[in-house]
Amino acid sequence: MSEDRIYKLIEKIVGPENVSNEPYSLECYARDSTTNKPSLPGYIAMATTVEQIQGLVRLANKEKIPVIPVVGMSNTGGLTIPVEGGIILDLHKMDKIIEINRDIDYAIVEPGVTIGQIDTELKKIGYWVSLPVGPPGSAGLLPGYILHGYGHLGGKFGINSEQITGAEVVLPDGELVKLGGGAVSPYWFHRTPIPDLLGLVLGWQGTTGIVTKLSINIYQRPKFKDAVGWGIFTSHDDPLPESCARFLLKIARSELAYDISGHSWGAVQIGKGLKYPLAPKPKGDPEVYFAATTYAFTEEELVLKKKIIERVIKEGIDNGLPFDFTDVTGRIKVEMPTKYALKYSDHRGGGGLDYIGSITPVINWTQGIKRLNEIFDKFNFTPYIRLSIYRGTLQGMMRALMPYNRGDEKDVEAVQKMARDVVQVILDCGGLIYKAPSFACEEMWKRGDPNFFKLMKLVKQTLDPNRIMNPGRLGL
Amino acid sequence: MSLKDYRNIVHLCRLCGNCRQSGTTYLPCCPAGERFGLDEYYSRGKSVIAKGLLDGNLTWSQSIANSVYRCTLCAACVEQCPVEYKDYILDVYGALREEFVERSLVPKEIRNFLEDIQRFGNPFKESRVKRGEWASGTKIRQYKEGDDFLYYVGCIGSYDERGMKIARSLGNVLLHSDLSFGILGSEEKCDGNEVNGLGEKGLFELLAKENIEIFQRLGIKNIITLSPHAYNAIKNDYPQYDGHFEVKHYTQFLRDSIKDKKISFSKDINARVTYHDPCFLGRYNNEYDAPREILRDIPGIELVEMERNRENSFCCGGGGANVYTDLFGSKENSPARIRIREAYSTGAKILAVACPACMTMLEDALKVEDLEQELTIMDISEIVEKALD
Repeated sequence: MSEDRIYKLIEKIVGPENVSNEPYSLECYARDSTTNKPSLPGYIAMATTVEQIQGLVRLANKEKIPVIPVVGMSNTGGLTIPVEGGIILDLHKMDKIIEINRDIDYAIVEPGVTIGQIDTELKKIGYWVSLPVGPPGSAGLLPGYILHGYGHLGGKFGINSEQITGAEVVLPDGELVKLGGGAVSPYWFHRTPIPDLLGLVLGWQGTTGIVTKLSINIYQRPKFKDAVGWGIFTSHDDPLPESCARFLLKIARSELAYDISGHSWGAVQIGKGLKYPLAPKPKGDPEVYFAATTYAFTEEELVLKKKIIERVIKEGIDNGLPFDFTDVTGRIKVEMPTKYALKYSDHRGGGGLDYIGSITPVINWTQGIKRLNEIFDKFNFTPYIRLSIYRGTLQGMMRALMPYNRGDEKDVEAVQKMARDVVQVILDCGGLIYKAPSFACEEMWKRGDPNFFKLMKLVKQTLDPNRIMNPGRLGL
Repeated sequence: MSLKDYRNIVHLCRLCGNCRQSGTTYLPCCPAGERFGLDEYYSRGKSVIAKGLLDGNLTWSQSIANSVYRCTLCAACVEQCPVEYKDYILDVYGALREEFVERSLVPKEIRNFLEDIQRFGNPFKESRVKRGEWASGTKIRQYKEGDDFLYYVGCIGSYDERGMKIARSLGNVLLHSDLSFGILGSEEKCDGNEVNGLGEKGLFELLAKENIEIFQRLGIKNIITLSPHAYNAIKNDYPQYDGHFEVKHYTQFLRDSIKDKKISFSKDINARVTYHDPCFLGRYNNEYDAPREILRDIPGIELVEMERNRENSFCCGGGGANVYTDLFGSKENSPARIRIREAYSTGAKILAVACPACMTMLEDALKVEDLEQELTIMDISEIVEKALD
């Protein structure tokens, strides 16, 4: 270990066991499961208190060294790869659930609290929160919320960041600030009607500050669960005709489903653990599988909800839409959080998973899926597309997942190219990319209002003049 | 297989970090990760290190070994891994440690441990002659041909003061059975389980072959072990050297004896008891029920579970020879202290263990936590013996 001046200064703040600049330590924080190019940090610092975070940020500012906060290390966006080196600030030991307020229905968590941890604690008292769908239970809850991730209750409550009611943030100068209701009230509950300054950190990928506490809405947990599944029997060349996409609104507007999600045929096969290359799709299988998942506090309520959803789908079938009901027993049994999504990475030989996710108008899914299929076909990858509808609207998540073999350079290269093509499709569909890698951000800003990007830069410059916070992100 | 044989395997790690928490309680599962925290201590980090060494991005060094050897071999990461890498984790890190041994890069504490085993046949630097002294003054005798089974005691039971008490308790319990048995005394050798896990394959082979030779010479077919570590080595690793024996951990034998009414209880143990699963009995050999069945059969015991139990149990930190090398120390976040607090939080008065290494780790932690008045640690054999009196 080379104990240079910076190392010693970090050591003073976090203690000798919580700092390293050993090459093998640095290597562990240089990559994630995506095809984003690995890059080594200069130091790892593991903070256990807010004061330590403030101290490290002040040090970084003084020395003009980048700081990159990380939590569960399950990132699939390359967002914590230290592209310009610097200090990796590992926050996973800050894992306290500070408050669960059942009078006002919110919880305050530290950044290291995991998805599984919050769910376990809330389950004990009959509550829950919208849990990020893809990551394992060991993934941090906070990143999935502040980066606008999708949760398993998104069909009812919208994206996860809409559940945020407040935060405590260490700004790039080391100052500590509360945002949302907690800034004014003793209760960290509602983020408006005061000016919503949470926008200064949400979706900024750690480039404007470090969230040290987050408050989110919690909800009473219904006891009963059921789901209705239906397949869309179309063709690979036009998997989701506009009539089928528009029909989804009928289910969304019924406001009975907590989640309305679709998976391409290939995605379902990968989920079953089948390896690449897949056998051709049997004629009787649908192109896209959809499921509407609902919950209820009583069995009667559940039966009624399911009946209504089934009736809506039946109406679609009666009106000539290419639907039929499918078995969703497995889906009903799956409990969140699940390791299910992680298995996908085994499909092509292991270890790698890249994805580009977006919020896209559902009416444009028709052309989006068609073109995504073309990209997957071009690169000889199994088409893996996931769709989810948000909160009773025709807005939703359209995501292309690319499991790949991390040990095969050709696979890596193919996925890097595919990801760029996918970005263009999403933007052509009017989509907004979430947890976007920097190259995707650059494409978004190119197509967008130049003054929006100008304002972003101004905000960044004002908050972080020394450009220490996770530099190289957001195309800034 | 050497590490380079895993070149096309090690990238199977999905880098998801699911090796950090148990999948049901979402409490930490990795003892080294919990103690030291940085990613290199978790399986995720070790896969990166192994790949880095194979790809030439990292250079073999003692500092890497110092990190890698903090692993207690508890296999909690194997239990949590959601992808195909799960099937290779133990082999990859075993090969990694083997290469550190070959390159003479193991930490000095580990090197001393291995040298002591080589020189003395045990890690306590004690004379081989003294190996059976724990049985002096008891009716436990030397194994003789024709006995129903061998009682294999292991190093902690033979030399450690607390371990010897447990060895005597189990001996006394075994005397209650209808079967004849004996010990090897000074002829017993270290089982080599830790030696094997730490990557010293040559020494392990020597120990295994010596034990096998003695077992075969005496016509031993059935073995009961005090330690889950010995049970694991004899059951899973000796067969590669043509050592095939019917081996049981003592809890399996006692469970069966109770079922067959060869052992029955005459006294109540009126206490709330919680049980700590040893890694080499549980995760390595899938035996979670036998110890619990025994405890449930003892009159007066109320068995309560810790939050982390069975396959999600949290290691005491004693594996990987750490019970001898003490690479974790006794800080507040040392695994044994965490486990003691977890046991105490159940309201149990007795923490039952089934492994002398766990006993050593947890009793030390109990003292540091200053909970000796609140909680007693007993080996299951001791609880059984008490209920027989």
